[in-house]
Amino acid sequence: MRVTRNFFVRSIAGLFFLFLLSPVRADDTPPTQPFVTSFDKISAGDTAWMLASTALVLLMTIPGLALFYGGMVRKKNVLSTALQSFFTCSLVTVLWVVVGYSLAFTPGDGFVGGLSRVLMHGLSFVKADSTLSVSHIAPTIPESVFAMFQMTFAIITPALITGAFAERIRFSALAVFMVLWSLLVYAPIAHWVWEPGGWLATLGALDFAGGTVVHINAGAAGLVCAYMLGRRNGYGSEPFVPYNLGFTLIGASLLWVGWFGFNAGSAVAADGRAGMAMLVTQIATATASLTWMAAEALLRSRASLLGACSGAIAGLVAITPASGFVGVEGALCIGLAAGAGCYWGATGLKRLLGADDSLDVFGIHGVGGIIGALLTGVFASRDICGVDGNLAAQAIGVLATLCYSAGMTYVILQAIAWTIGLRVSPEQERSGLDITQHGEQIA
Amino acid sequence: MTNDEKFATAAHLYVLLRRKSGRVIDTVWMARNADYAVEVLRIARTQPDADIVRLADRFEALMFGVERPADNAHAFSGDTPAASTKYIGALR
Repeated sequence: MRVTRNFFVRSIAGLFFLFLLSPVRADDTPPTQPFVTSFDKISAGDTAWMLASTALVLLMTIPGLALFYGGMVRKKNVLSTALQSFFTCSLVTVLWVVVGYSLAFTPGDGFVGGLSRVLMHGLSFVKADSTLSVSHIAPTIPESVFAMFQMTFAIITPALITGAFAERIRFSALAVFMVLWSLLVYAPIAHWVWEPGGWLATLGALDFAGGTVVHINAGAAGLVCAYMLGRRNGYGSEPFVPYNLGFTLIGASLLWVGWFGFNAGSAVAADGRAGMAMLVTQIATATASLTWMAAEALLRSRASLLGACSGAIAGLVAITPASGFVGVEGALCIGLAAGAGCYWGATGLKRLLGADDSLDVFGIHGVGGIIGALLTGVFASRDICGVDGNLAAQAIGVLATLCYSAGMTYVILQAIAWTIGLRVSPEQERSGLDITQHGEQIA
Repeated sequence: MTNDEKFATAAHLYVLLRRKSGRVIDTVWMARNADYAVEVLRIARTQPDADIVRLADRFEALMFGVERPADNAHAFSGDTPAASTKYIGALR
């Protein structure tokens, strides 16, 4: 009896504490912070779709990106390149639940969120009284699902950057870089754009699924990484033959399929807008892939598998910010622009910039993200999203992200260069990162 | 160019040739005897592996001071001239 009473008293105290931390909503004003609600306010359909979307987006990084990148490097660096994606997945998961989610998706100031969800404190699911916490950004799904969905975005963004410094970075330097970059660059920019109090969200910049937060951000960081680490030994004088473009095809295909979770999942609901996002994603991707292949056929007399894969990724990147805002015509135009623009980004612009951006992170994600963000301002349809696009707001979002991401990445890399060093020795580079950094190799 | 570099390159070549083709070479003798080195280089260049060909070029440069164009690494595969410059300074 005494045990039962103690349990009862503790439960009441616990619920009261939870009540203090997570306000229960009692009126109809729009929520501005995560809050506790009852089970019956949760949509089973939305939740089911978001659970599936979360798994799809995680599939994009492991194994999608790991295979996509792993197939494009030389044989001696395949395992290390794939490991970088896998390692980033584990590392960012822990960072996200410790502090990243709180910095990105809780109210703070316009620049960064608060600390109310550190260690997911306040995230609740109490079966006994049928209550659970939800994010003010997605009130029809459990906060656990929303946090997990956003975690997969936080994972893939730094993983994309690994393509820029492939085949020459020290593993210890990569680990430190990922920690600092996730917290100092990704979380603030996600807050700017996706938290309703973020300064770019307030300005009216549109980014449905991460063209700015994920792709321009990763592209700008990748370009700075390529400059800071310097060119690989032999770059420009000897051929860097990809190990297995079959891996790249499988990786690109997984990315394509997973991107439906990325874009249609960003509707945070199983509704018609998610359906539109999925449709335009498919259209833009196919159009960009065909455009890239056509450009190769015209300029080089042959279309390539790598070109088809690269064009598809370019289309996926460019439609990302626009996916919940544009219709079919917009998707066709964005796909066309992305295919041609990113082809130039990975060839002509790459030569112009002179950096050894090994796997063309800026050429595809940076350029594709910029094209998509700007064209969102042109093609956003009031019928689909209820607002008109604003090209000036989009341009401000692009410039702010480029400058902040590039500047902070430079500071982080400089700090690592002064302390533990960024790059492997020339002899280690010649032997390959697989054997020198991880003691493994492909026979 | 030091003797150490020559020997180190020969050792890399030894590892790759043994792994890829099962052929064993004498790295010490290769770094000393020009005739033996020429024969090993000839064998190395028959292998369908860009890394082996690149090491052979590097060893030749160290031993004999002969610099070969980098795209010779593709000579073994009979690529077209356009294909032989592929992947130099650009992936796509």
